[in-house]
Amino acid sequence: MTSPAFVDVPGLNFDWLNLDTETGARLQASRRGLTLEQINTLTRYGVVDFDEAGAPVFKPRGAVADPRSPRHARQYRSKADVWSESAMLLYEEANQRQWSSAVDIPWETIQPLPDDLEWAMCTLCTFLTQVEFIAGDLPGRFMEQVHPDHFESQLFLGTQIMDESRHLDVFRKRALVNGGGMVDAGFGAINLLSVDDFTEMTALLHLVGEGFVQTLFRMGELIAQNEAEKKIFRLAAQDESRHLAFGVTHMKYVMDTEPWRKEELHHYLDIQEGALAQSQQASLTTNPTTGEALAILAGGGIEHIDEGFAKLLLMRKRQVNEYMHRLEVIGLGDRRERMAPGLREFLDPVN
Amino acid sequence: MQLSTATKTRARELGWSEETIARIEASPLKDVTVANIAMMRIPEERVRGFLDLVDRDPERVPNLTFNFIRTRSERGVRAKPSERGLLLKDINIGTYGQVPDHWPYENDTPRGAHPSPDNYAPGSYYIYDKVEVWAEGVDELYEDAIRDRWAPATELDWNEGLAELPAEIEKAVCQLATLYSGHGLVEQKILAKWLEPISYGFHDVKLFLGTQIYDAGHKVEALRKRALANGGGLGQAPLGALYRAWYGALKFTEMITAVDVVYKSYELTLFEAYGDFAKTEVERKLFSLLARDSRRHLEYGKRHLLWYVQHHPRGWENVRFWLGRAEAALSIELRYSHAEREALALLFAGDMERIQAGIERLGKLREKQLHDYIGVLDEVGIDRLPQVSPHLVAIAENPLAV
Repeated sequence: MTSPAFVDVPGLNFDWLNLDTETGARLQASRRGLTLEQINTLTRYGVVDFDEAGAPVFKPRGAVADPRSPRHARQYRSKADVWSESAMLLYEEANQRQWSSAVDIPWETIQPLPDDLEWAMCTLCTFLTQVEFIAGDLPGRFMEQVHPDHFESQLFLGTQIMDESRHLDVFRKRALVNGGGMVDAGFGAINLLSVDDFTEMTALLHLVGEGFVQTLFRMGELIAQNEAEKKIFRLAAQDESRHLAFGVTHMKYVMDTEPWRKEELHHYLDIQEGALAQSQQASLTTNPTTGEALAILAGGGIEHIDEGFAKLLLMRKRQVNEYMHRLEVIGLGDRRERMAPGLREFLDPVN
Repeated sequence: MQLSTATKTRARELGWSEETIARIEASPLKDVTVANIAMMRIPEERVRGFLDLVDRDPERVPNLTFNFIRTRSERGVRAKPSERGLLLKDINIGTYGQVPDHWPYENDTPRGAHPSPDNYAPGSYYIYDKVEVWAEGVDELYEDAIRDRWAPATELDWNEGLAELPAEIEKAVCQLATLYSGHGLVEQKILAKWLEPISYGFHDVKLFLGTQIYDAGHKVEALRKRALANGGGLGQAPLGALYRAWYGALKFTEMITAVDVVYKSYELTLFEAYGDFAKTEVERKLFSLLARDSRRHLEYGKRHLLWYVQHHPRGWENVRFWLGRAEAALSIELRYSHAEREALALLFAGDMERIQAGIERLGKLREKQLHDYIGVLDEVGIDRLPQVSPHLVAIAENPLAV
């Protein structure tokens, strides 16, 4: 590219025309469109050389900093503190898989249900509408702390906030569309707001919390009473899968690049598993109120609640075993022996 | 166990036979559980099926309570979808739609529900007053955002919609893209930071902010892609003086004043005008989509200010103060960040030889930005013209003013 012609006009500078930045390229969009991964192949703009973030200013990665820029104190410097190798992919996938609770759910398929089933569903939906936005509030807090050099993680968290907005909305709509209403709100997920670190947040929220909920949603066929509910659970499960994947891949990145943090990760899980295993209030499936509701839905009525509880047990088993599998992927396979007893009892024996 | 008179009355009204009632009383079930079953209007045949379970497992089944039926919330709600589907406004009915002036619960109790007194954990929220966050129709703005969602990777024709541009013009486009991508990054951060303090009575506002956070991410992504996809590259980063008004905001309304009113008005005017000087189809469509998002954000800002000045005892005074701070920060950014004005002037001019014409056109843009901004505040009932930042006025008169 040739240098631009210099024009002597008072008050103009044009130094930005001659910056020492890498030239872009004529990129061809693939069948998935023009993705973040593609633009990251340009050396200076990619994230490969940014294990340590640059100066604490709000400068897009690869741009030239304005030397006058004010600093911003609260940002992680180490890539391992916030990164996921799948952040770009998950971000793009999130964009493609957005849905609308207003028009994508076949609300007309919801017909009047017997009161036990309707109120069981309303109980579940009250709990879900209560906790879903905690999963929006919490990533929101940590987005500020992601350095611009690792912005892809921030972008992904932005899609999570959008997803959780939609979840609060859809479960609230379900509770109010078929003659029921909300039930009294229990403990919810306030305890998650006590976290103080990005990785801690990911371990407790993405890996444990959303992992367990995702398993439940994927078993939505067991509890849904109509096509609308099946679709709600299917779409919500799809969203939760992305959040969970971020959690797994972030923690894996930590293990791969900072293996000395292994005991720290175990400690976060010690605390959260302990809460899930011991406190009946902590878990959707063991909480007395939501547990009864789920069992009624899974069994198909109070007179089949025993079958419902049997299915709930299967659900719990699957939750714990899928959680164990994710731990193995992360590199925490030794968690099997360290898992809280209340969860470990559900583990399948090792072959 | 003797069922209470009330429970027996309900049972008989439901048609449960005396035989079934006797069987219940002979079982280990508690009256409260049976009362709850009766509240759920379970027919006799199904009650007998439940009693069979009790017989099979007399240790565990009687411990079930079904207390969820004792909700204190409004019952019998049947929201109906409108033409545009089942919208938030369609479920904002009865007590579920009554947004109180002060939200009384410190936990995550959803609006319309009541907290269980034995399971109550205060959270980190500290915004409990409607006046601090509300905007009429914010639920509709949320649904508009969902309806108008777009994906930069696939909705822009990156392969056919770009063209080789003269080097300096490409650089100018990329410079603008760098700046506004940078602004988007910080916009996303600051809005996300303010989500948590907002209590759950105002979930409609939280939902809307969620969409703006998502939109800001698109701005970051799409403009970065534009800068890197056509042979240009990123340019000079923003100065960042603007963000001091955003991060320095001590109240939510102050932050919204700075981001969604002062800044957004200027951003929207620019994005809307971009179509007139866009050099490629990608930019034409990109800035049109960004403008649609910005319009929604500005609409929230405007409506929130309207609510705030009408309902806060110091609404007018506070807003005037905050407008002053936000205008000062914006004017510093515009005056001292020469890259933006020069890139715009060059784009307007088409080439360096005609830069003077570009500067004149830039002046018209700055004039329009100021005019549009004053107009937004006129709609709120704020006559800002006498007090607007003299530096913004100076820039409108001379776009190169420092």
